[in-house]
Amino acid sequence: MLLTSRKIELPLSLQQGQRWLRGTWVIFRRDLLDILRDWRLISPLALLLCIFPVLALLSAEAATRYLAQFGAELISERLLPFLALATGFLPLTVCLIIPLETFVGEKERRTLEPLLAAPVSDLQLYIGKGLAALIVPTVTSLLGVTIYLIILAVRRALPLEPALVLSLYAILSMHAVVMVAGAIVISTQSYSVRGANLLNSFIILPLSMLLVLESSLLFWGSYRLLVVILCILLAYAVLLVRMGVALFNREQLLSAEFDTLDLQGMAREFWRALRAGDPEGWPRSRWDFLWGPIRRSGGALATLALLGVMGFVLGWSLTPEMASRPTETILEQVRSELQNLLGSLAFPLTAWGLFIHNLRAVLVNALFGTFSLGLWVAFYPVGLMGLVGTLLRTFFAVDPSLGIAGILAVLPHGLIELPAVGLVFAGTLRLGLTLLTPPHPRSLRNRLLLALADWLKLLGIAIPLLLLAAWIEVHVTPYLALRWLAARLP
Amino acid sequence: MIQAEGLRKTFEDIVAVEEVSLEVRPGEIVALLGPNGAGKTTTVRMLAALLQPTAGRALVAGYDVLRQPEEVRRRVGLLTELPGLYLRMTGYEYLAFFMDLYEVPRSLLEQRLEAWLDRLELRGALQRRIATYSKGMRQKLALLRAFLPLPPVFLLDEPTSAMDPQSAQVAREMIRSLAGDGHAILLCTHNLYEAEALAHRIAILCRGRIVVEGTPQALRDRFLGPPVYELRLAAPSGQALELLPEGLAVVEWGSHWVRYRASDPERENPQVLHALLTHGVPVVSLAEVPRPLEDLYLRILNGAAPPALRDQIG
Repeated sequence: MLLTSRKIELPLSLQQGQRWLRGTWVIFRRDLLDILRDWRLISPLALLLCIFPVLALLSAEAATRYLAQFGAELISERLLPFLALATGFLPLTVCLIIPLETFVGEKERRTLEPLLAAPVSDLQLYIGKGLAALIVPTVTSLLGVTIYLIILAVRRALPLEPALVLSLYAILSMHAVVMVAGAIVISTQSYSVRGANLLNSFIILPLSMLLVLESSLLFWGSYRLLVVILCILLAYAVLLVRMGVALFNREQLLSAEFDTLDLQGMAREFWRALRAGDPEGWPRSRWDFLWGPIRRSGGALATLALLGVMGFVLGWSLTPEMASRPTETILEQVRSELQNLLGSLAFPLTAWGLFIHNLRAVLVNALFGTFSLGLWVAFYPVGLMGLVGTLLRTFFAVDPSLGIAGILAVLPHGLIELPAVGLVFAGTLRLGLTLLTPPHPRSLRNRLLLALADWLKLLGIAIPLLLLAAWIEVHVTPYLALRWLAARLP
Repeated sequence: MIQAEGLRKTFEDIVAVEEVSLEVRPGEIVALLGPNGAGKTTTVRMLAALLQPTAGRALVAGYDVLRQPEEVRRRVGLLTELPGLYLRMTGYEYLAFFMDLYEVPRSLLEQRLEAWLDRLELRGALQRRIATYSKGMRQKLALLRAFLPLPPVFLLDEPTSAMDPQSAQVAREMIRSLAGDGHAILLCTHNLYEAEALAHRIAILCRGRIVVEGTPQALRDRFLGPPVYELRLAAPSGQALELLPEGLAVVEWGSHWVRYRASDPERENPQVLHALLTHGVPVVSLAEVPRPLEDLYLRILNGAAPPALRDQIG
């Protein structure tokens, strides 16, 4: 009797976990009920769910009949999954409205502060509210697609292939996550629903374009490429969720009242960061002006170096089959590829031409890197060093002397060029990562301005190094490689 | 219960709170007064662990706002300036939602509601959507949201705004009874009458600093001088003026009245009455001239404080 009346004592971590889940569930349940009670959100979703699959089906049948007249059954067959994607995508557009309503709307109606004062963490709030915003449109979207596919299957118009069904579900779910995560990021930076709605075009435009691409891939049946795009979307979803978690905090949400577009203040802060480096840090030496940006980008630099080494190892280790091929074949392949490369060069092979080309490549990649939140520059060294690893492995497979010639063809200028590129990319990676980390104690604006100022300084350091590397690449590297080869080749 | 030392908060280049040191003991009500933009809301937000102080330290119910924010929030009942209610929920659902977050069991919620619902006249409205509530009812519901978890510390921003006088009176009684039960209460208000009626101590915040702090009476004595008494007479005041004890500071007089400042009223007032009555001067009444807190407040904010303090304000 005593045993039954006694409560079982759970370990502390388990109790805390339970408490955490309970708090998140309470927030999720409230928000979900609130969404379901709002007829302005639910009625369009219900209408889309009831009408759009039927509408898509009628369009598909009409198109099929029309195309069958010309014997183009294949096109109509491909059109069916394409329409399935459209059926699922329309309800997803609500994904942008709900987070705005639950995040910025609450801010605007002043209902957020009592909630922020409750004993729940920022992460609990983010997950509870984010999941509630995600679930309704996603379920509607997947349900719509399912209805459409079932009708097609029943009418024997399209067999339910698992690859197709999974692709559709995966594309739509991933789009939903990216849209909700993106909308939450926007919500943290807006103080009115109107402002957030205007900013939403930054999400809807690229995602609509991506959807067109995905539809085309479904149309052509290129499922492999679709998987690659899904992986990229997944990476973006992770980055946006990370960014949302970093930005959705009490400090940021309640300080936003002070957040106005103060261009003068921004210019002042940028100038201060450019002149004095970290305004809150203490200058360590006279040369801190130059060392500061490198020191602050140290983590990013180390990450890029590690990724470069990884890429080299991968490139080296993933080319074993080259060794088994005849030497002549390999040399012929390398020669033709080099000729192709030289033929396609759009710049003069002078030190200045090479420098301009390298600088342009660095700047374009840095731009991509900034827009991809650092993702592009993080993968760049993997690809570059992977290529170097593959080439060297190939050369060594033919003849160790050729391998050493390969090293000589890369190393002299590479010793300067790679660190120079690494500096600029590290600055870019930091710029992207700044958005993904919590802004406290400095504001996001000031941290971004400091990262931008540091990036400019790193570029300033890299430019003379790139010029020197280009000069070495034109005047020293070929000389060394050719001298080495001339001494050894018959 | 609340101990703040040198709290400071800046947003970019804006200094919202310069330096706030404050103490609220268990069972005490402290009113935080100040003009708009003085830093009251920011101070309350820092004490509620919603904003992190840029500098300084604050302990709330024994927990550090910077290091243990969640523990602090668990022990604070915050009433925000605007009620901030979810209009699509019913009053009961709303309260139950917040009590779930504070881990208050449903049975306890019902029990506490029973004690307060009738007094706040919300019983009939609790199952209705909040959207149908009047302004005053919304404020009462927000007050219940802050009170029901019964945390040791309450931070109340304009608790009776939008309430009718009767409801405001009930709300004040509730605040008093909570203080009587040992809860520490920090009250932010522009309602000086309310501050005077409720607060044991008053702190005036100006440009991010607490410029004065003390009991209402002590502050009056300090800034408005000793109390002023008014003597109403049934005869012309000329004779009375001659009969008043020597050294008594007469402030002003009229045809049938005299006002004087008494630094020690318990000694001086009987002397005055004795002098007049023994000479047959008919006294109608003797009463202290009311000195509203508003006078004191405006005097301090307008810089009419003693020189040392004025330096501090500037």
